[in-house]
This record gives sequence, structure tokens and C-alpha cells, in this order.
Amino acid sequence: MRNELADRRSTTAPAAGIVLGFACGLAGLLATSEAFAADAGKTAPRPPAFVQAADHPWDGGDQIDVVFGLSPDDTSAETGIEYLVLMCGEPDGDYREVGRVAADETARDRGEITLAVSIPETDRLEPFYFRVVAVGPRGQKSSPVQTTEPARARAQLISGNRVWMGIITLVISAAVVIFIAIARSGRPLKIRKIAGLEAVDEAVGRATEMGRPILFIPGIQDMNDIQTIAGITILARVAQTAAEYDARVEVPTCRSLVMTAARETVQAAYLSAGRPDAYNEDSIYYVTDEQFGYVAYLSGMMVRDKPAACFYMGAFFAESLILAETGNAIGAIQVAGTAMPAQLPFFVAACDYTLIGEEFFAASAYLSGDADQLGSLKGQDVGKLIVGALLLLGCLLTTLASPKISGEAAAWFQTLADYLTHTVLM
Amino acid sequence: MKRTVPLLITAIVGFIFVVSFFTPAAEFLGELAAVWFDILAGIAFILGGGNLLKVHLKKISDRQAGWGYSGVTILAFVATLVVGLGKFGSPPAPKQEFYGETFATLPLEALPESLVARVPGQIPEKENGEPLPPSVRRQIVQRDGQIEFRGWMLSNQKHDLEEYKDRRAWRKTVEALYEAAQPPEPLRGKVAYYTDHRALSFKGAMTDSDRQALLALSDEPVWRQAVEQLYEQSRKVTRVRVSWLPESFAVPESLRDRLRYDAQTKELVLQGPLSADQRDALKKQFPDAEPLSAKQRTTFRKKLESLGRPLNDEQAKILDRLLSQPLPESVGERNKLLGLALLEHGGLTKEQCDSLFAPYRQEVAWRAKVLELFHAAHQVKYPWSGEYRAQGSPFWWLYEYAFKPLTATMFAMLAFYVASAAFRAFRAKNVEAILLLGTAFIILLGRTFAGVLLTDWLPDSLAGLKIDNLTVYIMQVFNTAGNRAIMIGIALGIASTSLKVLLGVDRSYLGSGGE
Repeated sequence: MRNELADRRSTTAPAAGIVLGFACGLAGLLATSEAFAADAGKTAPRPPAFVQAADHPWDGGDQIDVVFGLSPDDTSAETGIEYLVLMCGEPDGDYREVGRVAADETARDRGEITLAVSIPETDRLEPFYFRVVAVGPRGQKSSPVQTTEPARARAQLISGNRVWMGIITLVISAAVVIFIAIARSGRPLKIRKIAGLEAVDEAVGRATEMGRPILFIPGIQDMNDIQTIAGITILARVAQTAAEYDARVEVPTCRSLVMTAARETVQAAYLSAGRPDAYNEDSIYYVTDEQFGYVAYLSGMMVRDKPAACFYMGAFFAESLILAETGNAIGAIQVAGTAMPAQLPFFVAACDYTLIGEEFFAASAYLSGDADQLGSLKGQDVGKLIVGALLLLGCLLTTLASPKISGEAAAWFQTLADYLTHTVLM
Repeated sequence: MKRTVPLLITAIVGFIFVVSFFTPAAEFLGELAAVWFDILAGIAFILGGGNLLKVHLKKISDRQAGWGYSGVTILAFVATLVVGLGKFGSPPAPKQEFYGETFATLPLEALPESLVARVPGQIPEKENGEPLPPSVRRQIVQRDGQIEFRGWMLSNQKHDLEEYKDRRAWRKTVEALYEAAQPPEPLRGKVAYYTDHRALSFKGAMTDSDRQALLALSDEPVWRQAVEQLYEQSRKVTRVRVSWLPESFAVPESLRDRLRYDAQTKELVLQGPLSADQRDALKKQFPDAEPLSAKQRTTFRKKLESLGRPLNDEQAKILDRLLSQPLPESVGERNKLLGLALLEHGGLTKEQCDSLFAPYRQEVAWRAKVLELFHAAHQVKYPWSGEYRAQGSPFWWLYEYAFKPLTATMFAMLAFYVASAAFRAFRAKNVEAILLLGTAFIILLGRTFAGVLLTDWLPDSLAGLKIDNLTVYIMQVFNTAGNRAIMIGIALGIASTSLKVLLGVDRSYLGSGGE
């Protein structure tokens, strides 16, 4: 724009010639503000307006937030101005670069930029000073602005990202505990019938009648998986029934720790059934940690020994269908339970009964009939209510966030919907 | 008691995990608990191995049905265990080795007093109580207003110390300490001390003057013994038989005093070890490929064609292009590239191939000889540091050619099982089964080209009814909704079960509900 003006002046006075035009242009250039100089990209931009640094809230002490005001010359993206953030452990020390950032539209509206600078764990609580320099498109640097007080990265007690999750966990846990207390007080609790669990006695009875073993597979994960623990709790009931009927239970495991836990469980079940003499620890044994090695052994064993009942209770992956189809081929009654959604269709297709997701976790309470455990199932229902309420709220907010429905308030509903999805449910 | 202790451990560790998840300051506790679990699982693996042997040996001993399988299992188990633990045929890990250096074992405490550097200053304290970096922790002390460093400081140790505290004065002190903690001038850059490895090291072959300079540092017998050992080690002579030398063979400058070719025995004779740089310099005995002028290219082509059939137009173009552009490779590499490209676009006679590939064959053979010399001259520091599954090792062989095909075979059976399960599941017995069958039909068809073609004729206003769009809709809406419902139930079930286990309400996984 300015150059165009200078050009026009020089062409309107041909007699004075190019010299006058150039002089006018130069004078104009000198008289213009520094903003123009920055626009032209020839001189350094003015420094950022201010800089502040403080610990990043609600984190593990691994970030410091540096907030700085934009350079007065940074009026649009075309200026090409970037900001160099430097850090040092002392005010006059050797500063090193820790970040380089340019303002986006949001930052320009607010007039400031916030940059989270990572701090290594070894430097937690150490004091740090920050400098910010505005850098022009040709690398011209402004004079720095600097923090006067040091900032320290501190680890907070609660992680900010998980506050809502903590609240929801607390509410659900409290509901479980309260319902356990209610159940203990003697109030009857109604639980719906779960066909898969009702079939446990039927399956064990069938194996007894046929004089064939019962095969129990507690998944292919270790004891640190909650599904394996849930599987072992069902094993306790299966083993107890088998002990009462004098049937043989075989438990080949994929992990050594599961083998030891299963042995303890089965032994105690035989003791509870009053048949400690019938317990044989060799029927619970380790095969291999390898997924398909384990499957190969189980398939071969099923075809050779033809167990009358097969239980698949735990975490399963690709082997689920191989096992269930082999069991189906030998005519065994099959009951499966898993919390792996991808494997559920396979079990449903190939097994007689399948415990789907939460039914699998409810098995222990259902089979024991223990008031404490039944109370915990009721507590779970409160969780379902919360989830249902959040689902409805989310659908409502997302619908209202449409400008066609709520006009100008749409943005406000969108903010709420975003907060729900990105903060509460993160 | 038998139940109480496990219950307590479960509850404590469980709550540690919960607290560490929500409290950043306690994250390390969760990591610690996870490490403890890994250690326990590792120990339990021995238990599993023992059980496997017991079960299968019993089967063999009792001649039970299928005892032959048990024999194979035990044989495979023992063989895999031996070759895996023994790491037979696995070369040491390159990162753990110090190529070009020889070592003598020397504990830090045995380093002579003359190797203690002192500078005035104070080791700064960190506000979070963080101790000095592990790489220098054992070598540095604060004494009488001075900082003492035992041994010679390595550049990585200097870097770690500088990073310890972001202060200009501290960096200056570290700089001074680094300068003070260096070997005397004639030995600088040649000798080093590695605290973590408890080893005195020397680069290249030690000369008599180097030896004298090292011995002059102390009269301690341990020190003298280590220096003498290092002297012997570093002067070890290695011979590798090489029946021919490259035409332009020249001993690299850095190996001038240590490497020679014995024409009588046809051996390369090297004194001391080879560093990676020296190895690379020795490898590079062949001229670089320069772009050829038009005249040179014509000569090249004529010569090649004189050995067999003439090149076709495309081959001629390729030849012209490859020979005219600058290539970073040697002549052998360039000719190999050219040969492969020509073969790809037409035929070449055996003589033409031989002519093109001969220089490359020579280069490969020479590189192999240099590598042989490099490894033969190297003093292995940690022979067991290699990857147990290193390519070419017996374990790798077992894994690649026995284990992988067997597991792949098992996995492949899934295809047949899916077909048989689908056949049973999709029988139209009732309304629900018909719905399932219909949905499956749409999905299966929508994932094939035939499905797309079938409904391609539908106008844009009915695009939603196209089978491929229906497939996407069913998967994204109905399937996702059902999946999420199951997932929510699972999540709540996990939370509830975890709580029952942590509070000791459900003890059946320990064997019984009671004590």
C-alpha cells in the first residue's frame, strides 16, 4: 500500500524525477510507525507485551505454563511473527530455547499465548526463569521480555484430567458399598435369572452321568486381569458341584500364577463339599504361555478325551472360536463367559450358553447367593442410572447445539456438550 | 492366616493402583507395584516349567495314551530352553560393545590417587533432593571445599553434570573439573576408565611410550597389573587369510602402523583392535562411481554388447540414465544396479551378467573379509549381551521354522471354524435368526465388489439404500450402539468386581468365602 503510494507520487512529478519520489518515499517510510516496519518485514518486531510463568495446575509436576502477550506488531497471520520461548535456572544465565510458537486466531482475539513447557522429572521444584522474544519473518529478533519471579513445577495431589472420573468412581463405589450394607441389614434383593449360570449344575450333572471329565478354561490372561479372577470365582462353584457329584474337573492353564490360584480354589471347593480326599492337584496344570500352543494342546485334548462339559470363563482372543467349535464338534455342553466384546459373537454362535459382559462379572454373586455380593450387583445398577442420565444429557445437548433448534444459544449448548465429552468423560 | 495375608496384599496393592491413577505424585507407586507383579510372574514361570516337566514325565512313565506327544513336548521344551538361555550363536549386542578398545578389569577403588582431580567449588543441591546423575555418582565427592573426581571424566559424564543444575557458575566448575580429570597429554583420547564396567580401556594398540606413561601414574601393583594386561591385550595380533587384494588397495592412514598384508602367507595382519571408523575406511578400497560422458557411455555400451546380445531401446535408455547421473555408490554398486535394471527390462547373456556383476562380487567378498578381521580382532566385553532371537541363531531358527509355522497353522484353522459357526448361527429358525441372517447378508454383500455393483444403479436420492452405504450405516449405528451397551455393562462389572475384591467381600478367587 505504502509502496504503491510512493510509486504514484514519483510518477505524478516526472520533472522532479525519480530522486524526489524516492526522497518522499523514504521520508514516508521513516515517518511511519514501527508497525509498518514490521509489516514490511525489514526491522525487528516490537517485544511481547508481557510474560508470566506459573506451575501447570493439576498435573504431575511436569509442566510450567508460560503466558505472554502478543507483540503490538502481531496484528495478523501475514506478519509472520513467531515467538521464541527461552528458559534458564537463573535470571541472568544462559537461556535455552524450549518452545517456538506463532499466534493463531484465538490467541490474537485474546491478545496472549499460553505455552506449556515440559520440565524433566529431575528438575521438578527447581526454579526457572523465562524469556520470550518476538521473531520477524526474516529472523529479526525483538528485545526479550523476562519473568521476574521464578516458576516451579510441582506435582499436585489430584490429576486434573481425572477429577470427573474420580467423582464418578466415588459415586459408583459408594452406591455399591451402600447396597452391600442394605443387603446385610436383611432386606431381600431380587436378581433376574441368568440362564448361563443356571446351566452350571446341568452341565456338571451331564458330565457325571456320562462319566466324562469337565473341562474348565480360565482364559489366556494372567491373574492381574479381572476376567481371570472372575473366571476363577466361577471355577470355585463348578469344582464344588463336581466334588458333590464326584465328577472330574480338568483345568489346563495358560499361566503359572493362574495354575496356583486355581489349585487353591479347587482344593477349597472340594473341602467345602466335604470331599478333600477326591481332590487331585494334577488335574490343574500349566500348559504354555503361548496362545496357539495352548489352543493346540486344548484342541487335541478335547478330541482325545471328549469332555462332556466345557467352561470357557475368562479373557479370550482369536482362540475363542477354535475352542468353542472343537467343543461343539465333540458334542460337549458348553458355557462361556467373557468381557471381550469381539469374542462374544463367536461364543454365542458356538456355545450353548454365554455370559455376556456384566453377566460374567455377576456370576460370583449370583452363584454364591451371598447377601453382600448381591448388594454389590444392585450398586452396579446405580452406575447404569448415571450412565443412562449422561447419555440422555449428551444427546440433548448435542441436539440443542444445532443453530436451527436453539438459534444463538447453540454455541452455549455446544460448549456444554464439548465439556461433557472432552472433560467429564475423558 | 492363609487367606488373610493374600487378602491384605490384594487390598493394599489394589488401593495403591487406584491412588496412583488419580494422584500424579504417587504414580511411581503404581509402577513399583507393577514391577513387583512382573517379578512374581517371572518366578511363577519356573513353577510352570516344573509342573510341565512333572506332568509330562509322569505321562511317559505311566505309558498313558498319547505319551509320545509328551516326549515331543519335553524335548522341544528342553531344546528351546537351552538354546534360548544359552544364547548360542547370538553375537554380543553392538551397543554393549566397545569396538576399537581393549579392556583390563580394574575396580574404581583401585584407581591410584594420582587419578583424583580436584577443583574448588561446591556441588549444588537440588530443591527436590534429586541426587547427582547415576553416571558420576560413585566418582564425585565434596571434600574440604573442593570437588573431587576419581578417574578420567568422559564427555557424557560432563554433559550429565552440566545438566544437573542450570547455573552458569556450576557449568564453569564442571568445565574446570572436566579439564582437570583428563589423562596426561600423550594418553589423551586413547585411554579411558568406565566406572560402570569396572574397566580400564585403551583405544588401538598401546605403544611402549604409552605404557610407560600409564605406569608412571602409580606404583600400585593392581594398577601396574591392569596396565600390563591392557598392553598385552591391545597388541594382540590377528590374522585373516585373504587370497587377493583390491587393485587400489591402500592401508588407511589411521592403520598405517598396525596393518599389513603378508604376501607370502596371503594374510592380512593386524595388531590391536579395529574401531568402526577404521573398519569403514578399510572397507572403502574401491573407486567411487563417477558420471560418464556421452563418449564413455557409448564405449561402455559397445563393450557390453560385444559380450552378448545388443541392448533394446529401453535398456539403452536405462544405461544412459544410470551412467550419466552422479551416484553415491562405488563402481561395483552402480554396475549391480545397472545389471538388475537391465535384466528387468530385457535379457542379458551370462557373459554380460558376469561382466556387470563381477566388480560387485569382489566388493562384497572384500567387505566380508574386513568384517571377519574386525570381529576376530575385537575383544568381546559382554558375550551374553546379544539378542536371544538374533538372526541365524539356533533359537531364531527354531522360532522361524518350527514355532511360527505351527502357530500360523493353528491360526489358519480359524477360517474353517468361522465358516462352520456362521452356517449354524445363520439358520433361519425364528424371527430373530432371520433378522440376524438378513443383517449378515447385507454386511457380507456390502463388503464385496459384487454388492457395490448390485445397487450402483440406484439414484442419488436413494443412495442410502445402496448396499455399501447400508453396511456402513448398520456397522456405525446399530453395531456401535450394541457394542457400547455391552462395554458400559463390562466397565461397571469390572468396577464392581474390583471393589468386591479390594474390600474382601468376594473371596472365592482365594479358594473359599470363609477363613
